[in-house]
Amino acid sequence: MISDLTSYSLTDFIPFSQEVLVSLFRRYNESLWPSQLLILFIFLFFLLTKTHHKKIFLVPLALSWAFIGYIFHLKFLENILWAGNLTGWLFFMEALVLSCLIFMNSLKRHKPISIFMRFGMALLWASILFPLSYLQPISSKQILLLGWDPTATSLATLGVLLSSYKRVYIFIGSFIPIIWLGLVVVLNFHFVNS
Amino acid sequence: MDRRVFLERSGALTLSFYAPSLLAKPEKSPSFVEKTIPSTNQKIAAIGMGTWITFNVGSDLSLRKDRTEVLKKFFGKGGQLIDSSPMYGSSQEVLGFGLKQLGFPKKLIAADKIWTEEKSEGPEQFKDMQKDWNIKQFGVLQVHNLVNWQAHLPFMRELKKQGKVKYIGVTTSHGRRHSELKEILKKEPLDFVQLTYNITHREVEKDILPLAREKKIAVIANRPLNGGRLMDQFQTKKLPSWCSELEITCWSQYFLKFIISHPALTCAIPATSKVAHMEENMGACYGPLPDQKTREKMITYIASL
Repeated sequence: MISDLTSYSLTDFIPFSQEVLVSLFRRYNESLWPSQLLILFIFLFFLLTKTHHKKIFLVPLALSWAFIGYIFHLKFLENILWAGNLTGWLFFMEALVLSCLIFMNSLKRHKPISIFMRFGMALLWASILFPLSYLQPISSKQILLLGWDPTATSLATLGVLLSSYKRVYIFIGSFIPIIWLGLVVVLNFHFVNS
Repeated sequence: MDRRVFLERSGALTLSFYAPSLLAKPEKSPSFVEKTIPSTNQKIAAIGMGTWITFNVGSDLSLRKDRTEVLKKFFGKGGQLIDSSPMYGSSQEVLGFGLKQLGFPKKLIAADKIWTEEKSEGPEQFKDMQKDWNIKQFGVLQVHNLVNWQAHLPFMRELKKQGKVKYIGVTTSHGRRHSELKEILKKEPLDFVQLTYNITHREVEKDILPLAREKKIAVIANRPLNGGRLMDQFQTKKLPSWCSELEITCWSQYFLKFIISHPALTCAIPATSKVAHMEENMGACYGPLPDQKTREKMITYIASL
């Protein structure tokens, strides 16, 4: 698509305003409300019963990645961003990676508890609390939750990989969530400065 | 009432809601600024409209209706040329939605672009834009950002022969790839060139604008308000008193009149999502334009702030 990348700047890849992105998230969230509450309760159940260390936790997580890839990226984001198709496929790939980890000898034997594991747990909880950090006065139907919000789901994936999985699988599984989080940082930087 | 009748009637109602101001003659005065497209001598309004970011609202109906109001104001004030691109997300579709609501104003000059590295995708993009805009013929078709222009220009010439496109051209922005652009302008027969030109980015005055004039190529100025930065920078400052002689009442008119007063310029295409801003922008299409001496005064004044 792009012949000479040097002739483009970051702003060329962000063809929408913050107003439009907020509206897109609102419509995305309202489209299936209150299903996302059920998804959140499933994740909370795993966390509160401390079963998030087991591979079974990856099942709803992988499903969430596939779901977000299809609904958010292909049905919503692609409407305003031609690269939405690409990010959608990245999310499908992450769903596939997490599904593979379920069938591999990927869990850490542990202990002792390392600083990485603690950081991973902090990220996991942050992904639950993340929606509360939204400063805009939005209605409950518009709060994005883990398993539904691509950013919260990326944080949770990083968290669970860091806290429970072997190093090589952390690298493999973290690649796409880190790309997404990087894009979110770039996007916020752009909106703050434009 | 069956579905077809309902749709027909509701469509008529929608049109009648928008139509009074559109069916009436646009608010033009004798001092309305029109420029000539050199290749045909066709006159067009010197202020057009861009759609980068502002019209990319996806399928949000409420935002689509807001943008339709912006379009309505644009046409109501005599605007004609609207520019978009496949790179602008849903902008083409949103334009199509708005134009349909407004009954496809006859004055419209639809300007769009081919933006793909692949030669084979050019015709597909053209079909998509026809579908998205809800129109069959385009006023201006351009190669976006010079992407594979060698492959797309022959296809665009073919469309021109077939009467599907009236004018063809190439675009660049942010002052990029100017040396390549100059070569294209020298060698290729074009009707239009689109480039970045505003009061703080005047590099093209040196050789590209004189070249376009010599080659009888119409010029569209993109980023006339430097992506809104000029407004952010100056809107709290006071306009000089001599602006009243030019019927300039706000900073956007100051910047736009500066652009369209250049003899090589055909049209400036500011983008906005606000009706009030559209009204201000279109105000630049009315009243006297600055002469060369005043243009220099305008530059000096901006530099002094």
